[in-house]
Amino acid sequence: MPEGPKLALLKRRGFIYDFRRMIYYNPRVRKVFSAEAVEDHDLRWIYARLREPPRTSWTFYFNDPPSADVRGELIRYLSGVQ
Amino acid sequence: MKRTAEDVLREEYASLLPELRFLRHVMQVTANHSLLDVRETLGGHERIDVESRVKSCESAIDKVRRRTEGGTFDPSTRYSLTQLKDLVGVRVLVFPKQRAKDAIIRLKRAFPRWRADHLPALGVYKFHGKIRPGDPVGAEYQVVPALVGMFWAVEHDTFYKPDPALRGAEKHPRLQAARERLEKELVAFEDTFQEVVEGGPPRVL
Repeated sequence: MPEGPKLALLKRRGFIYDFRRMIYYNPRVRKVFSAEAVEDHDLRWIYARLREPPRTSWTFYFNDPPSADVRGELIRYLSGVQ
Repeated sequence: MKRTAEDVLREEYASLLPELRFLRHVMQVTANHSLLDVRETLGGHERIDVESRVKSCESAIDKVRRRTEGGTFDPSTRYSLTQLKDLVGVRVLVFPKQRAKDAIIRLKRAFPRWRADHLPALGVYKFHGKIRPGDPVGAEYQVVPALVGMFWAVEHDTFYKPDPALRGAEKHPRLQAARERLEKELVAFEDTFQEVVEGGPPRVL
């Protein structure tokens, strides 16, 4: 996965890559992209997700929506790495 | 206490381990035997080395975990190590890489009808299959240019052995891009070496 415009965009918008979970996350806007979703979608799709207003809870942009258990585990994990 | 996916996979690994060790031994012996005649023809600077390994328990679990989106096990899903194609593996390091063809011909005879999964840009040839049809796990053999294979070994030791928390760091986009640049240079070095060796001394006009 070489660095390209999609990764540069996420980096500019304050997203951090977590190599253990293979996710891009930004605690300020509480959004998480899976590496697979970033790889499988184009820039336009990422822009559209970035434009969505942040919610009070974390928003997950995955190819397959994660289950409640997985979301809970990732939220616990993200609160630990911040 | 509820068992986690990791607990279940560790138990599975323990039950598979005797078989994995046996398969590793069979693969190592088979590969060495099939390459005997090529080795006899090697020049002084040429080499064909056979290495084998059983994937470690934590590496295997980590690989299954990394196949999930978000790198997180879902408690409602059942996972198995048997889905991995490379629990047992043999790596054949060749130098120069032109020797790979000789090795592949013989290994294909020794492990017939295994599925190819190559990385042509690096001159890496991978094959997956089962040693015996009823084997519970798959195995892999690779024929790899020696310089690339040695770099991978160092990289593996750097990322996995000292600190399991670094597992997966090599997949970081920046490290992966740096790694691809280095691998290309290693391949280019071998190409240049081959040109120099095959070209021989400059001709006097």
